[in-house]
Parts: sequence; structure tokens; C-alpha cells
Amino acid sequence: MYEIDTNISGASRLTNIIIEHPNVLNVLEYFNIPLGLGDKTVAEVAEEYNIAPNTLEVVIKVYCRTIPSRILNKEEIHDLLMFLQTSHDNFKLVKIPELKNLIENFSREIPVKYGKMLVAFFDEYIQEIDEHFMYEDKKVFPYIANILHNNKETKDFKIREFERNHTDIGHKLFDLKNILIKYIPPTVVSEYRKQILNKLISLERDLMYHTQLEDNILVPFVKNMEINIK
Amino acid sequence: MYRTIAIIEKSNIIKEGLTHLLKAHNICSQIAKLDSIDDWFFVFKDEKPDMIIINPDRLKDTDLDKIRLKLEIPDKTPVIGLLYQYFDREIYNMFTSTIYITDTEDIILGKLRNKQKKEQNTGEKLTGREKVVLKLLLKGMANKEVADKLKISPHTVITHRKNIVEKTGIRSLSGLAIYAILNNITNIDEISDLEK
Repeated sequence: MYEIDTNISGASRLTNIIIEHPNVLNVLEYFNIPLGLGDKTVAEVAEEYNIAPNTLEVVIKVYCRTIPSRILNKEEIHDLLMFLQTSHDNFKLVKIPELKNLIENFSREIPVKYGKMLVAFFDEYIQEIDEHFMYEDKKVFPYIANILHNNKETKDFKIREFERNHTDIGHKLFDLKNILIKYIPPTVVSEYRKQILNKLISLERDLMYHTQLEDNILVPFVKNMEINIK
Repeated sequence: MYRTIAIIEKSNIIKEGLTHLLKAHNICSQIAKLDSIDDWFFVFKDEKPDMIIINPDRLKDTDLDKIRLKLEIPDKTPVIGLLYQYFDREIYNMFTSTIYITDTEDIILGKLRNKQKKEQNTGEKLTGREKVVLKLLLKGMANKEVADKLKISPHTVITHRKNIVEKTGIRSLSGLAIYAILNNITNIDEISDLEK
């Protein structure tokens, strides 16, 4: 659960953090930081890969379930935006197709009628999440990028609109988890079911941190900018 | 057992001490430790804690109702004052209960346990009525239509829905459709094309 963790800072060794909080591996992936980190600290890694040190620290903290400072400057927000964008790409092109593949394999191990339902359910989820990301990629993020660079708002959009539309994309994953754990009858071969659950749980968390960064850091910053521009 | 308890307190020693106590006696499965109310929405979005233990000096308002409203805390969630100094009676009257740091372990545990809600009905079977409601909802009927058909109020339909979600652990209608088929409550032909 969340707590104030004073142990993570720019001076912490990234390797130690990863060993304690494996979720941070996703952060490296989305920031495009390769492993083989040696004894480098968070701040050193940030510098090497041209990421605002504060942004890297904040994102790591969120992925470690600790409460970060929420005061970032423009450049730092810019890097956060990049991070969120590459996360979307990864979800869409890697994490979700992986799951889809496993679900299809699993569906062949259970009675056809159940298998079909399961695949249809996940397809529906994919459609939902695609729309969600599309809206952010095409509308929200470009708007924020514009406001960051030009210090100007675009007339037809306000961040409040995003706040209102920002639906929870975790519900269906949560449901799927319960369906797989509790309701699909026992199967003889269940390697796939286990793998799906592992990936599902990890994706669910990943999306939760992602949403937190959007709702608690990105949105308040943009809101503030909108007020100051006027 | 509570699911999540939030402790809002500045002192780490107090926070950790209380955490230790709660964990050692299995009072809850998760503990969220916050320095201040400002962190609230960062930690709690959809799911709120079942109990809040807070030092009154962390409150920015002396009106607990206002705070409940602002933080979206339901009325039934107990808010316990954590006291280690003198406060005006008015302040500690607003809490569901109060604990003092000089209280013994037994007293503290007693006060916290008292406030425990009755067990959640997770895992219980659906009642006949709930099954009927679910079946109709899966046909694509809106709450109002279900209410009319069963001659009950829309409010009752919503209560049934809430219970169904709580019992099954499934929130989306399409997820519930799978549940209903797996449990022979309905069959595929009776389910409308559920988009949302």
C-alpha cells in the first residue's frame, strides 16, 4: 500500500530499487533505459539517458507505491508526457497482444462456448482501451504538448474535458481476473491460466500507476497553466 | 477484518507504531500511511479505505462533514481521532471514536474493533431475485425497464445490482454475462449484444 518512503531519491542506486520493486522494470522499458545499470544512481541514469532527473524520480516513486513530490516544471512535465506516450505504445503493441495471445491459447483448453466468450470479452476490452488511448494520443497529449511549447491554449479543448472523460480502464481487467480465478471451471492443463493471471495482475498495476501519473501530476499541472495563461 | 485503514499522521514513530499494532492483531489487510490530507486523492481513487485514523492537527477544517464531502468518504466509514495533546471537546466530538497514544494496546484494539462493519457479503450466492434482475439486465434492459417489469422501484433494482457486483466481484455487464452463463443463470441466446 502507499506510504511515504524516504528511501528513494535521486541518489538511490537504481539496481537496489529494482530488486526491491520489480515493477520499476516497466519504467525502464518505457523510458528506453537498458539494463546493465551497474551501480548508477537514479540521477546518473537520468542524465545519461537525457531524462529530467526529477521526472524519473517521480515516476519511479509512483511505481514503488510511494507518494512523490508533485511539483514539476515544464521540462519535467514534457518528459513525463513522453513517458506516458511510450507507455501507451507499449501497452498497445506489446502487453495487450501478449495477453490476447495467451487468452486464445487458453480458450482452446476449455469448452468451446466458454472459450469464445472469454475471447469476445477480451476483444471488447481491447476495443475499449484502444479508444481510450486514441483519445489521449490524438487529442489530450497534443493539446498538452502545444500548451507546454507555445504557452497558449487551443480554443476547442480544455483539460477539464479530459478529467471528465477519464474513465477507469481497469474494471474489465478486474472482472477478467475474477472470472479466471473463480468462475471458469477447473481445467487439466492450466499453465496458460496462470500465465494470463500473472500478466493480467501486472498490467492492472501498470495501468493504475499510469493513471495516477495522469490524474495527479499531469492534469493538475496543465490546469494550473491554463489559469496562468488567462 | 478491515480491508484498508488509512493513517493520517505526521510523526513516523506514531505511524509505524500504530501500523505494527494493526498488523500484529490482523485488524486489516492493508494500511495506507499518509503525511497529510493533500495526499488523499493520490492514494484513494475508486476504492476508499474502510476506516480512517487521523491526528486532528492534520485536518484543515474543523467540520468533519465538510471533509467527508470533500474527500468523498461515505458516512458509514468510521473516522477515528488520534490524540496526543489537548483538543477542544468540540473537535473530538466530531470523530466516530478517539484513541490516545497513552491508551493501552487492549483499549486501542477494543475501540477499533468496535467500529468494524459486519462482514462483506463477497462470495455469497445470488438470491433468486438477484438472478432474475441479472437475467433481465443481460437482455439489455435498463434499470427502469427492469423495475417496471418486476413491479419494484428503480432504487431497488440499483440495490440488487450493487449486491450482485459485490457478491460476484464482477463489475462490467459483459463480465457478468460470462458469470451468468457459467452458472447457468442464463444462456447465450438470451443475452443481448452488450456493448457497454
